Amino acid sequence: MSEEAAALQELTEQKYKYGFVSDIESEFAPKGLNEDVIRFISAKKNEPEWMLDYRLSAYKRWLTMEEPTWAKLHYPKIDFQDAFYYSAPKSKTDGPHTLEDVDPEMLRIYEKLGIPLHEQEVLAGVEQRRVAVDAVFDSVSVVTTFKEELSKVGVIFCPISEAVHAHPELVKKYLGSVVPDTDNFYATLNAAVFSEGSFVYIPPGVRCPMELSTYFRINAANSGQFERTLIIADAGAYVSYLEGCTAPQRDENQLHAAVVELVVLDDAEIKYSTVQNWFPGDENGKGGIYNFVTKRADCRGKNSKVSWTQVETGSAITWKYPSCILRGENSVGEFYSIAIANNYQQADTGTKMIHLGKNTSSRIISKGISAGKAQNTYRGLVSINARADGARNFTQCDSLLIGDQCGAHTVPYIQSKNPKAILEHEATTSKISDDQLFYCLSRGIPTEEAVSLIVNGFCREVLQQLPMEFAVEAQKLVGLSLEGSVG
Amino acid sequence: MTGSLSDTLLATMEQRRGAIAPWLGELQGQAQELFRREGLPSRRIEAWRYSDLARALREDRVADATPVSAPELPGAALAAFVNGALDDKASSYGKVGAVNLRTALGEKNSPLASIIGKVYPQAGHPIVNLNTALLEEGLALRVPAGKKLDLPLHLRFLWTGAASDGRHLRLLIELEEGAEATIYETHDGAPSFATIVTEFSLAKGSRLTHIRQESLAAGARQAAVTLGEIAEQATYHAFYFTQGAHFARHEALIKLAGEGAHAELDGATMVADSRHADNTTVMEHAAPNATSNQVFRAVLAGSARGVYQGCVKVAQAAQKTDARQLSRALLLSHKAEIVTKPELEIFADDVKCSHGATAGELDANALFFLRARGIPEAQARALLIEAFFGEALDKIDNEVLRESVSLSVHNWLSTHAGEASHVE
Amino acid sequence: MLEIKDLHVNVFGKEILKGLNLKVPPGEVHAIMGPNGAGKSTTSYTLAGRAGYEVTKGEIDFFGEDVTGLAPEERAARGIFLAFQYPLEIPGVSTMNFLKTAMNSQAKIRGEKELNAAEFLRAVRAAAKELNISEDMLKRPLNVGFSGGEKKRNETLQMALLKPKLAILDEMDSGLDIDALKLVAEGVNKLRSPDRSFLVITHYQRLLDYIVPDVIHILAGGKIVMSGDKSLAVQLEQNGYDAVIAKAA
Repeated sequence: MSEEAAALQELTEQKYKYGFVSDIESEFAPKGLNEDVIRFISAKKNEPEWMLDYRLSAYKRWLTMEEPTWAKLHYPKIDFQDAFYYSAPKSKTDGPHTLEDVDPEMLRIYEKLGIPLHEQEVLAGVEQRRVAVDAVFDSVSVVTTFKEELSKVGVIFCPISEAVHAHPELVKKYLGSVVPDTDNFYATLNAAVFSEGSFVYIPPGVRCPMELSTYFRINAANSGQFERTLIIADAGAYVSYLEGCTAPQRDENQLHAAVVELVVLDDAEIKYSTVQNWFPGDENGKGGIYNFVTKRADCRGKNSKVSWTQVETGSAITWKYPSCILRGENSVGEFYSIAIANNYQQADTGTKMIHLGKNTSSRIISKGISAGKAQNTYRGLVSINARADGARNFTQCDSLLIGDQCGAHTVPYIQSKNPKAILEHEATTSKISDDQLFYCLSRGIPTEEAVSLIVNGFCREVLQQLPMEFAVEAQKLVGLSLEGSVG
Repeated sequence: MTGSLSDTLLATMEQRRGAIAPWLGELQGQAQELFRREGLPSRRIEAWRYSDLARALREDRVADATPVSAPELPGAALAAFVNGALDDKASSYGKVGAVNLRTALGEKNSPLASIIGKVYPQAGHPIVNLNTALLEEGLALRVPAGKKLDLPLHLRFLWTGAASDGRHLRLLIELEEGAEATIYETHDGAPSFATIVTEFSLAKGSRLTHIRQESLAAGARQAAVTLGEIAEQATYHAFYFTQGAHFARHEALIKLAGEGAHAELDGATMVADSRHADNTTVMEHAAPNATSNQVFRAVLAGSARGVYQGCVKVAQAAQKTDARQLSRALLLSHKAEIVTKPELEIFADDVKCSHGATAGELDANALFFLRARGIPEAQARALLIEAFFGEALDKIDNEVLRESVSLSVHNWLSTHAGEASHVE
Repeated sequence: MLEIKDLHVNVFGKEILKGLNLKVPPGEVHAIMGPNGAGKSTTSYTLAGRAGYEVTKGEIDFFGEDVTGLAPEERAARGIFLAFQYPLEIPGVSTMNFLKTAMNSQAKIRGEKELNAAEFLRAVRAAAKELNISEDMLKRPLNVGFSGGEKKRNETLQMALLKPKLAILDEMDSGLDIDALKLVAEGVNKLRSPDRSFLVITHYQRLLDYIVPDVIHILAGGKIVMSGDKSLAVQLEQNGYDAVIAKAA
C-alpha cells in the first residue's frame, strides 16, 4: 500500500454528521400495511373522500404488482408489513403551523441540521439570499416559512396535505397526471400511503422571488417516509426548488419511497435540485435508507424547460431516475447528476428523456464515483419519437473508480425513430491516478484534500448547476462522502 | 413455451439426441431440458427485448421472388452448405484440413470433441441450447501450431426454394499456438428458421480473421451465435456485414482469457424495407492488459429496425484493460428505427473503457459540398455512406474478401441510397 | 542546505541509487547530468518523497533535518519543490483553485496565516504577468489541453508563488522548442536568489546554456561519478557520456 493510501485509511470511520436521533414524542399508525392503515392516514390528514378513494384504488392495484428486479441492486427481500407507514410528532395544535406554534425542541433539531426556520435567517451562503423552507419531519410538515410573502405574488408553497384542502382544484387536476398511480411498484405504493411533501404552484408570468426548498427528515425508528411533491409552473413562470434529506444512524434499513411530479406549461421553467444525504449505512454495510424514488417532469408547454440536478451521496440503496417527457415543441430537459457510492452502498440511478415534440433537446451529464465495496450504475433512456423532428440529445456519462473492490456500470438505452434527430452519447471510466495524487502532494496538498479536489474537479460540470447557496455545501459533502476511500 | 412450434422442436430434439455421436447424447439432453424450461427467447428476456424471436417465428414470412445465388470465392477452400446440408461434391474444405462435424465428433476423445459446449460459459444461452439439442450438421477446423493457412475457408450457406426448412448447424474452430486462419462466411436465401453456432478457441499468439457476410433474403429467419475464447497475445479480427431479414441476429460472445489478448470487431449493418438486424456482443475482459475495439455502423432505410447491444465486462483481475466501443447510425427514413444499448460493467479500477453512440442523418454540409461539385444527390448520398463504411472495409487485409464485402455494400446502396433523398 | 549522504534507493525492488552523495549550498545552482537510466528521475522523485521510491540506506538532510521519513506535502511545506518533467492534468480543477489550495495547505502545515482572497489574487496576477500567463489560462482546468510550453510555464508559476528554498527542475526542457525554453529559463533565472538553491536535472547540455549552473555533477550507475564547473557540460557535448564517464572511472 502506498503511503498516501495508508494515510487515508486511517480516516475510515464514517463521518455522517446527521446520524443523531431526536427524542420527540410521536404518534404512529398501527404497524404494517392494509386498508385500515390507509384509512388511518387519510383520516389523520382529514382528507376528502376523493383523496381516500384515490389511495384505496392505488393500494388495490399495488397488491397485484411485483417488485422490480431489473436494477443492479442486491438486498434482502423487503417485508412491507414490518414498518410504520405513518409517524408524526405529537403537537398541541392541529392543522397548519406558523413559526410561533412550532415546538421549540423541533426548532433546535433543525438548527442542529443547519436548516434555518426563521424567516430572517439564511443558509450558510455567501450572499444574503432568502430561501423559503418546508420542513417535513417523518410524516408531517412542521412548518413552511415565507408563505405569506410568497402568496403576495400568487405563489402557493405549502405541504401537500394542506393543498388538498386549500387548492383541491389544482391537486385534482395535476396529482397523478405525470406519474399515474399505475406507474410502477413504488409509485403505486406511494399513491396509497403518501403522507407529506410540498406543493408548489407558480402562476402565469411569475418568477418566484426566492428559492423554495423542502427539507425531509426521517426520525422515528422502523418507519418509512413517503414523500409526495407536486410542482406546477404555469405559463411563463420560473421557480428554483431544492430538496435535502437526512436520517438518523440506525442498524435497520428504512424505506423512503417518494414520488415527485413536475408540470411545466408554455415558456415556463423549473430548476429542481436535490442533495440526497440519507443515512448510507455504516462502513460494514449495516443500516441505511432504501431510497426508491420516481421523479418525472412533464414539459407540456412549448419552450418549457426542466433541469434536474442531483447530488446523491447517501442511502444504502438508491433507485432513482428523474425523467423528462418533452412533449411541447422546443422543450428542454436537463439532467445533471453526481452519484457517490462508498463502503457497501449501491446506486442505480440515471434518467429518461422522452422526446415527443419537435426541436426538443436534452442534455445528460452523469458523474458516478465508486469507492470501497460499492456498486454504482448509471441507467438511462433516450428515446426519440418519429414526430420529434430536430430533436437533439447529448449524453456524457463518466465513472470514477477508487480502489479495486468496487464496480462502475453504465447501461444506456438509446432509441431513435427520427432521421432529423441527432444523438450523441459518450461514456468513460477512469481512476484517480497515483501520478495525479503525487502531483498534488508534492505541492503541499494533503491526501484527503487532494482526493476531494480531484473528485470535485471530476464533478465540476454538475456542481456548477446547483444554486450557489448549496454548491459550497455539496462540494464539502463530496469530499466527506469519500473519506477513507483511497486504499 | 410458445405452443406448437416449441413442441415440434422438442419432439425433434428427442429424435436427434445422440444421432451425430452417441457420446454427445448427455450434453444434448441437458440442453433439451434447459430449452424445455426456457422456451424460445421473447422480449420478456432483457437480452431479447428488441428482437423477439418467439414472435417472429409466429409471423407470416414475406415471399421473396428474387432468385438466390451465393458468391464464389476463387481459390478458397469451400464448404458448401445447401439448405443446411454439407454438399461434399461441391466442397473443397479438405484443402485446409477441415472435416465435417460427424467425423470430428466421432470419438469422444477426438481432438475437436473437447471444444464443443466448452467455449465461453454458454449453458444459459437459449439459441446455443436449441442448437446443441438439434445438432445435425457442421464443420470443424483445427489448425496445428505455427501453421498459417494461406487459403481462406469459405463457409457458404445457401438456402434455396421458397420454403426451405430450418437447420441447426455447428462450427468448431481451434487454432493452436501461433496458428493463423481466415474464415469467410456467406449467408444467402431464406431459411424458415436456422441457427448457426460457431465456437472458436484461439491458443497463445494465434490469429483468426472472421468475415461474415449476411445477405439473407427478406423472408429469412436466422439466429447465429459466435462464441470465442482468446488466449494470451492471440487476436480475433472480425467484420460482420448484415442486411437483416425478417429476423436476423448475430451474437458475438467473446472472452479475452489471456494477457494481451485482442479482439477487433467491425460491424456494418445495412437494412431497408421492414427488415430487422440485431448485432449483440458481450466482450468479457478476464485477463490483464487485454484490448478490445468495437465499431458498429448502421444505415437504416424504409421501416427497418437495427439493434446494437454491446456489453463490455471487465473482471476485477483484468487491470490495464483497454476497451472501446462505438456505435454510429444513419437513419434514412422516418419509419426506420435504431436501438443502441452499449453497456459497461466494470470491476477493475485501472482501466480505460469508453463507449460512444451517435445517431442522425448524413452530414448536410458534406452533402452540399458534393452537390456543389456537380454530383447528383442520390449519388452523393451513396458516396458518403460508402465512405462511412470505408474505414472498416479498409481493415480487411485479404483483397479478394474486401472486394467481395465492398460489393455487397455497393449493391445495397445502388438499390436503397435513393430512398434517402425522400426524407423531409 | 541540502546534503545527500550515501543514498541508496530501491524502485520496485530494484536498486537504482547506489550511494549518492551531494551537497548544495544556499543560493547555488547545481546541475545533475547523466545518461538514460542513470537514476536522474529517481533522484528527483526520491527528494520529493514519491511512494514506491524506497530509501534503503543514507539520508537526505535539508537544513539539518533528515526528510527521508516525511510525506511529500510536508517536504513541500519545508520548501522542497519539484518541477515535473510531465506535469499532470487534473480535469475540472482550475489552475487558480489548485494554486490557492496548495498555497493555503502549505501555510497551514507551517502554521502561517493563509492569504485572503485579495492578497492571493494580487500575488497570482503579478507572477502570471511575469511569465506571460493569461487570465484565461489561470481559469482553465490545470494543465488540461495546455501545450508543452504552457505546462512548463505553469510549473514555473507555481514555483514563483510557492517560494521554495530548493527547486528541483526535472528535465525542464523536454517537449519545449527554443522560444518556449527561453521563456521558461528566463522565469527561472528571475527566481534565483541568495537563499534559494536549484537542482537542475537534465540529459542535454542545451538547457544549461540558459540556466547557467555553478556546479555540474555527472550521475551514472546510481552515483555521482564526477563533478566540475560548467565546462563539464561542453566536454560532455563534444565527447559523449561514455567517454567522459570512462575517463572518470
